[in-house]
Amino acid sequence: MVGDETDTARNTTSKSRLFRKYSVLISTLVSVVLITAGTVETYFSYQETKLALLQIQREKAIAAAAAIDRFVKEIESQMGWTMHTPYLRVASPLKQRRIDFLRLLRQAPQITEIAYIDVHGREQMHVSRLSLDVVESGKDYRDDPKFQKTLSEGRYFSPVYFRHDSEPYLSLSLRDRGREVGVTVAEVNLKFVWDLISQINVGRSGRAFVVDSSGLLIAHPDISLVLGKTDLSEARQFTTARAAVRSQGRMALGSITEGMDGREVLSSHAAILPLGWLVFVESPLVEAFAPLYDTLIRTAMVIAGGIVLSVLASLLLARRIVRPIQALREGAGRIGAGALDQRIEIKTGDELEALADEFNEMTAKLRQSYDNVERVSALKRYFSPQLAELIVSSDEGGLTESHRSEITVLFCDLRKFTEFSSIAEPEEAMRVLEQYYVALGRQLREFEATIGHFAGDGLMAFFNDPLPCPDHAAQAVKMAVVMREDVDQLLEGWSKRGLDLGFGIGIATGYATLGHIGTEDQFHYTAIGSVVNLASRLCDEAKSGEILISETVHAETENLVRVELEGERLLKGLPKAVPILKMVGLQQIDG
Amino acid sequence: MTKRKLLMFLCGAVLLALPMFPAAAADDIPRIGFLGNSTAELEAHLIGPFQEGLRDLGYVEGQNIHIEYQWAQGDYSQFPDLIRELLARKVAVIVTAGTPATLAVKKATKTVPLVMVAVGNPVGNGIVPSLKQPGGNITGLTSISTEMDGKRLELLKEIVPNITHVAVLWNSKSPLQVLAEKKVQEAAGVLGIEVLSLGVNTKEGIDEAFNLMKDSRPEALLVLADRLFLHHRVEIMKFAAQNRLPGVHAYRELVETGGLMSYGPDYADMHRRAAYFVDRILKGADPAGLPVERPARFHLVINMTAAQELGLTIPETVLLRATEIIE
Repeated sequence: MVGDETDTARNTTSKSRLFRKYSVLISTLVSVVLITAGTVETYFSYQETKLALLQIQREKAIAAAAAIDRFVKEIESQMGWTMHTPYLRVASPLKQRRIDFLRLLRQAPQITEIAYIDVHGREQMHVSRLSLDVVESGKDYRDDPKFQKTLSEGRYFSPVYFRHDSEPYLSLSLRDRGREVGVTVAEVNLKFVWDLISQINVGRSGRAFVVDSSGLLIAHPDISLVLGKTDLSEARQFTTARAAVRSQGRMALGSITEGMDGREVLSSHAAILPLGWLVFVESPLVEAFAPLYDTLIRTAMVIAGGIVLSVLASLLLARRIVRPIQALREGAGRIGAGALDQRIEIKTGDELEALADEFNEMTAKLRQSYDNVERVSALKRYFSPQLAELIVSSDEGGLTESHRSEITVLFCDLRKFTEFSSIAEPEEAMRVLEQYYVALGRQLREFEATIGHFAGDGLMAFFNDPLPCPDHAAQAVKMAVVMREDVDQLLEGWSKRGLDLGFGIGIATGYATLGHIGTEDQFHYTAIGSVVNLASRLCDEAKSGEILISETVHAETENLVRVELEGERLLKGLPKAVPILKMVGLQQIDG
Repeated sequence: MTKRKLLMFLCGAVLLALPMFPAAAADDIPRIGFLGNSTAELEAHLIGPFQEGLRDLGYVEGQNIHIEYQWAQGDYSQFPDLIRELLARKVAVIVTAGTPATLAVKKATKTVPLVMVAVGNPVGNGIVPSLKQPGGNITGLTSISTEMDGKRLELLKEIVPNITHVAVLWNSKSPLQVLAEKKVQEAAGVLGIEVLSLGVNTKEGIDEAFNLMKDSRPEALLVLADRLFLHHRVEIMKFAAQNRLPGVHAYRELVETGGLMSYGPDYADMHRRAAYFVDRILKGADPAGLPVERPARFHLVINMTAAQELGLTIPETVLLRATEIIE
């Protein structure tokens, strides 16, 4: 059936909708938490790692700068030793100076040449490791900054220059102190700085290098870059560092910038004053942050794993939530389909279990009410609808058991019906009965009489049981009068059609035994006793249009009815003769 | 059907190729060719540092490198054959010392990288156009011996102030020594010294030089830096000692063998440094871009026993500068 299909489809989609909703919700929640935590952690890790690495590199740079500074200071101080010559009382100050210079060469392997220029700017002594020594050359240095600047400032560092295209050199000149003011100039081989720099270990592919104040690279592990006179004055790395040194001095920490080969590097620096050189220590970002990248990947994998787990967990959780709801839905569906004896079993120990219990109670109550409805409809066969409702709400037991009660019994039947039905068409007989019972039924319902039984045209009804009726005799009498009126009308109509029928009623009041009589499946609720017999016999005695009542009825309804005594008769089944009281009319009706 | 055939063909090809793999693995170890001027024993003190240098850089003989040695035994005419031998072994880089050997390799190959150790004047001899950018397949270390010969003469003059006549032993077949001899002549001129120029290139030549010296009776003997003289150092120094000839040489080995004094760079250290060049080249660096290095430290070695035997007092100005004194 199409309806069923849509239902099933709706069932499955709504099931998976709730399931999907919950599983998506839970896994999204956990994932968001994990990712947020991971991101925050990574961000802080990154900052900390960067800071730590920069600090380590800065230490290296500072150490290297200090070492180079020491290197230069050493040379200066050793050069200073050669300047005491004027104070020595020696035969030949020139010879002494040469000895001092030779000693200097022995102690300072970095110095390749050393010269002394007198106060007039003329070279007096030139001692070299490689070329022949020259004494009193008289070479004119007056215009050379090595002489001029030193004379005015006391100390002079020349810009870095290259010898033989192969070695970086620096001229360092110092002014004599004291009376004789000359200048001592040393040519310093900066290969020693290169040695120092090359030994600095910065991870796997990091390196240290030195740049002079004009941005010229003067020491680098790859000497070819130095010899190639690499100019870094425009490089961001250099300009940033120089600016930092100017503003922050020793506090400058370093930064991420573009390295010499164009790759991103973590760059720290330190300044060598008074040379104005900068030592850089850089390491490629990729390598420097490798452990961080490892951590990142680890975190990502943990998050991924966590997300997978959370998805699984959410599926499980969602199922646990959805299943009882699903069970409830199915249960409700079954109940809706009419299977009222089904129980919904949910044992989750929470509100859903309570809901299922409520459902079951509701189902039980529904079942009960259905049963009641059935019972009511069953009872409506016996009693008036109001009576049936009443009986249903009260204890049923009282009805099935036999008991004694004072009741008023009414018998009535159609005169000459039997004869009529045997000769008439069956359809016509049925139609007559139909009309007859419709009329009777109306009044039975109206007066709330209990139908004992009816067979053919004869009917037995009684009052005051099971429904209590205070004026049961009066009720019976009133009903009888109205019945007579109604049936009279029918009789008129039938006689016009040529049907000659009559109607008689007998009423008696007294105690009777009441209860169920019948087979197991079908039974009547009826009364037995002498009162019943009496009513029945009275009905038999009644002629068409007559209502005969018993003495007891009359006693009960004295103020209500007007009767005519028609003597006493002996009726079948009754021991004594019974007064025959014919009802003439109701006192209220008659004037 | 065709897919299966293809698969079988591939399997077969792989199976056939398999035996080649182990062989290929063995061939994978790079080979270094060392062209020696003398013999392994006589140059052991230089080879040792070279091997140490390689070890320091992580190279293990037999595991990740293999060094092939070819020795000329003092006979430079052997060079072409020895070089051919090395090239036939498909060496990845050749290492050699001295100008004659370097020039021989340069002639034999323009592609196989050469690390020259202790070449006196690579630019002057046309081996490389400049130290900073060697250009071709040659790089290495220079001993700047031609720059220092004058200084050596100056030192000699300080020890023997009145010296006027000095014999100079040099290798006439070496273009470097030709330059060196000229430089010495120049310096001698400045110092007021007459030079007995002894250009030789064989053992016989050396013997002849000895005879000449016996006849001319110079006051000192200067042995210029050529591996030939290193090879024959024992005989030469014996002759110098016997004939009471002081000298300031380039090689400290001569001082160790009885000579008076040497002044020059540390050749052992240069051999050690050669390993750095070999390493760079094996790792893919182009020798054209590796600058030739000059020595930064110079050693003055004095043999006091020899000084005593020669009856010489070493002046303070020289002693001051000594970096090592041998008894």
